[in-house]
Amino acid sequence: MRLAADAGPRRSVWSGASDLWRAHPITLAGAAVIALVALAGMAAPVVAPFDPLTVNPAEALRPPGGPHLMGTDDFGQDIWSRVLWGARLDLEIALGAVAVALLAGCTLGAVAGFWGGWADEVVMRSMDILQAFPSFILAMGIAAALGPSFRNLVVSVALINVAVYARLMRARLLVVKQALYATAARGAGNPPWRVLLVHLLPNCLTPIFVQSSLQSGWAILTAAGLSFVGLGVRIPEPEWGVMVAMGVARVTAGSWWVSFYPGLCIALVVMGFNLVGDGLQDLLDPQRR
Amino acid sequence: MTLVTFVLTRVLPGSPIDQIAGPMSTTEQRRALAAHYGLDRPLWVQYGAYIAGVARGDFGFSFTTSHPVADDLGRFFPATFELTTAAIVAATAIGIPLGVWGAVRQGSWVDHLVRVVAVAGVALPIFWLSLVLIYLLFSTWHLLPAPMGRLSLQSAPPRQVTGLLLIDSLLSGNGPAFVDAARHLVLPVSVLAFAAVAPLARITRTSMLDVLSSAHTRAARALGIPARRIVWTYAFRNAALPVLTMLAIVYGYLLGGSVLIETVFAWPGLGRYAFNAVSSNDYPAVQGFILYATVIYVAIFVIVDVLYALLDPRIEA
Amino acid sequence: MRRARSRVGVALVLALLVAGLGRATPAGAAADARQTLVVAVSRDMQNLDPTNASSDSFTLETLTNIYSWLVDYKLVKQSNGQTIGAPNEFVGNLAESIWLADGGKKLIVTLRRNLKFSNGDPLDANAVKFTYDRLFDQNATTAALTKMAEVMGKESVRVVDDRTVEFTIAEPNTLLLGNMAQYGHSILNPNVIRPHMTAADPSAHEWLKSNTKGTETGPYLLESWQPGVEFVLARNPYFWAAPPKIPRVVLRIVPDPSARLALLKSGDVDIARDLAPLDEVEVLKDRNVSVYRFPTRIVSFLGMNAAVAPFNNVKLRQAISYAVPYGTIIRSVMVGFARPLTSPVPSGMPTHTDEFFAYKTDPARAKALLAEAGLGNGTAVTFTSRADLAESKSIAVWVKSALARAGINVTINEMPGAAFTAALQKHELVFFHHPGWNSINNDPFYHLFWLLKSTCCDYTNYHSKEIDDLIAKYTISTDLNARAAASRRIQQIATEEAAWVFLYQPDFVLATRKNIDGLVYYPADVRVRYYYLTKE
Repeated sequence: MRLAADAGPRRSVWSGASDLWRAHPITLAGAAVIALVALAGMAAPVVAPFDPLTVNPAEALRPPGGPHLMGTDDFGQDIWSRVLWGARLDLEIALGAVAVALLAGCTLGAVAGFWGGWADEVVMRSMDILQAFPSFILAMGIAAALGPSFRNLVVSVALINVAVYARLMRARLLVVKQALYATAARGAGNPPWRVLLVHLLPNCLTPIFVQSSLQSGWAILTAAGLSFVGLGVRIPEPEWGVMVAMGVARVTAGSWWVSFYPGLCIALVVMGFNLVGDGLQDLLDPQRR
Repeated sequence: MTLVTFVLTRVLPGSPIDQIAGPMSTTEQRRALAAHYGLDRPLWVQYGAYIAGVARGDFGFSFTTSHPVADDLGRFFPATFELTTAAIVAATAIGIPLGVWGAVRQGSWVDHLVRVVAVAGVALPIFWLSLVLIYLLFSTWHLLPAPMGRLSLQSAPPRQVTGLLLIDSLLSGNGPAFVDAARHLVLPVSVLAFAAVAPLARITRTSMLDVLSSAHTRAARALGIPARRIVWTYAFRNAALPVLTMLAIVYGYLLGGSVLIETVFAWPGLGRYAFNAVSSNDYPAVQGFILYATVIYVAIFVIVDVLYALLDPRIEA
Repeated sequence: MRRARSRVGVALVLALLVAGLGRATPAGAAADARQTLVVAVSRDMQNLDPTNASSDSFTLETLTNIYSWLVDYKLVKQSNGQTIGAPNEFVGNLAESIWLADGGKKLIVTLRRNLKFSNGDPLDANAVKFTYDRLFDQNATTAALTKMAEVMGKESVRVVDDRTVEFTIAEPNTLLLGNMAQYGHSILNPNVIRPHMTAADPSAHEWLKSNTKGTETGPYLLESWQPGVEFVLARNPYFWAAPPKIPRVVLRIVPDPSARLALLKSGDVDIARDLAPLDEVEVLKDRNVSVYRFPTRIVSFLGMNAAVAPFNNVKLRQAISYAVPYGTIIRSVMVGFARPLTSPVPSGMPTHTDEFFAYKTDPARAKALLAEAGLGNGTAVTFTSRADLAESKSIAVWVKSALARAGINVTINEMPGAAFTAALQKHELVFFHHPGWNSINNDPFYHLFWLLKSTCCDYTNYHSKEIDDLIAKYTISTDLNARAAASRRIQQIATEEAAWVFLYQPDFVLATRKNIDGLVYYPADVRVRYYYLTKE
C-alpha cells in the first residue's frame, strides 16, 4: 500500500533546480558567491599568475591592467594573486573561528540547558560578562595578550562569538527538553547523556546552522578589523584585512586599487554568508514555507 | 565584572610605566613612578583600592591624558551619544519601514532589494566607505564640511548644557552653530546609519513574516479588515518585540563608540578614547571605559525589559 | 496624516542644511584667518611636566613654544637663505649674558631686565633657583641630563643677586650648554607651582601634567586644551621679545592621515603634520602647498640584540648588513625623503665620518659571510615591527624578502605600540626597526653615550670594551683633538662590527599652504617654533 500519493510526472533535475532558483534567487546568489570564493581559494596555487609574496620594487603601485589584473601594491606584489590566496586564508579564518565558537558555545549551552541549576547559572553569568564586554576591545585585548599568529587570531575571533552559540543552544534545549519525545526517550531507559546527544541535539541544530552562516561573515570582518590595527595575521601574508589596512592610506593619494579589491572581496563574502543565512532561515523554518 | 576587567588589563603585555617614563629614564625613576601610581603593590591591594575609588566616583587618572578618567568619560560621552542617537533615529526611520515593506511584499523585487541593501550595510567596510564619501562629498564636490570634528573652527560652540551640540545650540538660540553641527553630523551619521539599517531591516522583515503567516493574521484577513490596518495595527505591534530587542542591542553596541568612524572623522568620542587606552596600556582608562560600557549594556536591557512589560499585555508588569 | 507631517519635517531639515551650504563666513573672516594658524596634528598631548614629560612629539613641541629657558640656539642664516637655529652655537634667551669663568668650572648667567611670567609675576634669580631645586629634587630625566653635564645638584646652583645665578660645574665639559638648551630647563614660576607641591607630590607633578597657567615664559601660552579635540596657543602678553607674527595657533587633532592630507589640500588647515612619505610626494604636485624639507640627524636603524644568539655573532650581523636593501628602503619606504646613514654618528653631527661604511646590498657577499659565521642556509630569525607604524611594516617586508635571497629566513612579528615600547625599554627585542633616535645635544659623545653605552638606551646590548672606555674617558673631556680622534675610532669599531644595520636619516618634512612662510628650522630638536611663521 502506498502511503504517500505519487507526486505527479517525473521532473528533471534542471526544472527542479530552476524552481529552487525562482523561489530563492538571493539565497542561491549568496551561496554561489561563497562557492566561487572557495573555489578561487582552492585553485589559488594553480591559477595565481604571480607568487603572492614576491616583492618587486620596480613594479610598485601599478594601476590595474596589463599583466597585473588588479594592479600592484607598495611592494610590487600582484594584488590579483594576493586576493586569490587571501581567499583561502580568510575562509579558513572564518570557518575555523566559527567551528571553535560553535563547539565551545554549544557544549556550554548544552550543559547549561540540559542540567540547569548551578551549572546553568555559572555558564550564563560568564556568557553575560563575555557579551557585555565591548567586543572589539575584547578581541584586541586577547590578540594583544596572545600575540599575533593565525591560530591566535582564530581563537580571539572565536571567543567573542561563543556567547551567541551558548545562548542559542540553551534556549532551544530548554524548549526541546520538555517535548514528548524526550520524555519518551527517557522513559525508554536511555541514560541522560544519550538522550542529550541522540535525541535532543539534532533538533537544536537548525538555528545553529543559520547562526553559523551569519557568524562566518562577522568573523571575517572582525579578523579584518584586527588586521587593520596590526593584531591579525603576520605580514606579509595575503589576508584581505591586512591588504585593506595597508592600502587605505593610498586611497586619497590616488592609488585606490590597493584597498578597493580586497575590500570588495570582504564585502562580497560577508554578503554571501549573510544572504545564505537569511535564506536558510526562510527555508528551514517550517512556518514560513 | 570589575574583577574580570582588572585581571584582563593586567594581562596585556607591556607596562604603562614604559609609556609614561621617557626613554632616557633610569631604573630608580621607573620604580618611583610605579610606586607613585601604586603599581608596585600586590594586585589584590590595587584592586581593593580601585573598587574603593569607584564607590566614591573616582575612577583614577588616565596615564595618557593626565586627566581623571571620570572627567574623560564625561567629556567624550556626549559626542558619542549625539552621533549614535542620531544614527539610530535615522536607521530606525529607514530600516523599519523597509523591513515591513519587504515582508508585506515577500518574494517581490522589493523584498530582494531590501535584503541586498540590508546585507550591504553589514558587509561594506565602514572605514572604506567613510573615506570614499569624504573624498567625494568633501574633497571633490565641496558639499559637506571638513572631517575635523563636530564643529568648524570659525563656529563658537554654544553654551554647554547637555554637551549635545544640536540641543545646546537650539537652547541658546544659536542658529549658525546648529546648522554647523548638523552639517558635521551628516557624513558620520549616514555611514553609521547605513550599517545599523541592516540588522534592523532584517529583523523587522523576519519578525513581520512570522506574524503575517500566523493564524490570527489570516483570520483578520478573512474578516475583511483592510490590508494596511492589518500590517500596521495588528501585525507590526506583534512583531515589534524582537525588533525592539535588536534596536537595543545595536544601540548599546554603538554607544560603545565606533573607533573607525571616530578616527576617520576626528570625532572626539569614546571609541577612540578606548582604543588609545588599550593601545597604551592605560589601565584606569580601559577599566573605566569597560565599566561604562557594561553599565550602558545593563541599562539598555533594563529599559527593554520595562518596555516589553508595557507593550506586551501578556507579560505581568 | 502622519506621513505628511514627517515629509514636512524632512523638508524643513533639508532646507536648513541647504541654507547652511557653503562655508560660514562671518564678517571680517578674512582678517581673522590671518591671525590664526590652523594645524592638523596626529595625536593629543599627554604629560606637560617639563622635567618629566611624556616623550610624544606634540607635548614636547608645545613645551618648546610656551616655555623659555636660559640659553638657546643662535639664529644663523645659511648660504641658501634659510635661517636655522644652529645646533652648536648658543646665545642667551632668558639670559642677557652667559659666560664661563674659572677655567670652565663656573657658568655665570645674568637674566634680562623686567622678565615676567605669563601672569605678570617677575622672573628673577629666585625663580631660576626654584626651578633648578625642583629639578634636582624630582630627580627625573632632566636631572640626569644636567648631572651628565657635571652640574651635580642643588648646591651647584647659587643665587648671586636679583638677576644673576651661578652654576658650579664639577668638570669643565662641552656638553653643558647643549644639555641646557631644552624644555627641561624651562624656568617655572614659584608663586604658581609652590601651592601645588604637597607631601605626596613634592614636585607638583600632578598639577604640571595638565596645567601651565601663570608659569609660561615663551612667545605663546597654552590658552586651552580640550583633550581629544584640540589645543590652542595664544600670544603671551608678557613675552620678553617681539610678539609672534601669528597671535593664535589652533592645533586640531585629526588622527586619520588621509583626512589630514585632505584638509591641507582643501585649505581648511594651514599645516598638516605627520603626513606619510607618499602623501608628501603627492602634495609636492599641489600648487597651493609648500613643502619644506630639511636634513636631520635622526638615526634610524635595525637593531640586532648582541646578547641573543645568533646576533652575538659578528659575522652574522655583517652578513645581514650586506643583505639589507638600503636603496630600496630609502626609495620605496621613505620615497627619497631620507639620506643614507653611514655611521652611528649621523651626518650633520661633528666628527661624523663615513669612511668606514663599506656595506652595500650584495647577497653573494652576505651568503659568504653567513657561511663564515658557521650558520648554514635557512637560518631562521624573527623580526619585530611596530604594528602602528607604517614605515616599520614596510621595512619588515623589504628586509624579509632581501634576507631570503641571502639564505636567511625571516618571520615577521608585529607588536602593538605599547608592547613594542615595553620590550624595547627592557632590551628584549632581538631584531627590530628603531624608527628614529634624535640626540638633542649635537655632540657625538652625548649621542654615543646614550646609544652605545647607557643601560637605558643601548637597546641592542652592544658592548665593546674599547668603545666603553673611550666614551668614559672623553665624554667630559675638553681636549677637542683627542675627542675627535676617539670619536673616529668608535665609529670605526661600531661600523665594522655592525653594531646596527645603519639604515637612514629621515628628513624633516613640513607641508604647509603656500601663504605660510618664515619657518626657522632647528636641527637640534627638530621642533616647529610657530613664533617665526607668517601668514598672508
